[in-house]
Amino acid sequence: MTTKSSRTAQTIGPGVPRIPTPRERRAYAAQKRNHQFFLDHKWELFDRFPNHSLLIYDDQIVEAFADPLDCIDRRDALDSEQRATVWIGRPHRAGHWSL
Amino acid sequence: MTRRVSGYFREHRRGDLSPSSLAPYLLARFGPEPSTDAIEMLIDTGADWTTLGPIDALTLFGRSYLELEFDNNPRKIELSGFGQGNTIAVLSLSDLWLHDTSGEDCRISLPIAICKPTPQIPGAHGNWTLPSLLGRDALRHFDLQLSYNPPTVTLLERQIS
Repeated sequence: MTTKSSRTAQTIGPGVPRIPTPRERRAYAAQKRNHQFFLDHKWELFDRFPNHSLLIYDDQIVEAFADPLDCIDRRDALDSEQRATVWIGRPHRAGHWSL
Repeated sequence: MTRRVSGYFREHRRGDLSPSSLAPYLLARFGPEPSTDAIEMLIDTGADWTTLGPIDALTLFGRSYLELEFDNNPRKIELSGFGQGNTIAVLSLSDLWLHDTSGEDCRISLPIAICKPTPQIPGAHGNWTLPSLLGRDALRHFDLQLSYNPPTVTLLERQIS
């Protein structure tokens, strides 16, 4: 977590446009595919695993965790190639309409 | 030349595609490089600050999020409208990355509000169920194009060539 002081002004110039590397592009594509899988299947998955966090990685391997911390720990245990493909699906968020 | 960042809509009740159930989201990444997990951000023109909810903060920071000192933190602020009553959050300068339709990453540096988890234990309760918010501090960098018929959401940035 960054905690740099926001009270110190910096003078900066325009930087070089950031274009993702080929590896990052592959990771984006894989994560987007797993995100779409989550959007397409979330209701069916949450029916079977209510209030579980879903870890979706590689070519749509899905694991369900009752404890979100277990889900994070499992993600952190994946190797870097697998981790780059991860989408974590949350139970649908109830209640924020009452804001 | 115009940069475009496309979002999507999520329904919050099964099979309910009516406007009252659909909400606009964008995917964002946080950190010095756009290599972290993508976070779903609810587009919220009523939010002063871009805000990370507890479940997404846990995803980004891991267990260290649960050890973060909120109550005596010099960067503590109080938010209203995130859940019921006031919520304590800590401001942290961060880089927010949006992936545009041409495949480039667009960086915005801004202080984000990291919410205090209430209750402390993760679960489907309290403010753990609330989404992270893309607030006006990020949206003001763009033109926001939003339609419910059909449901489409896009951020536009006209670039000076």
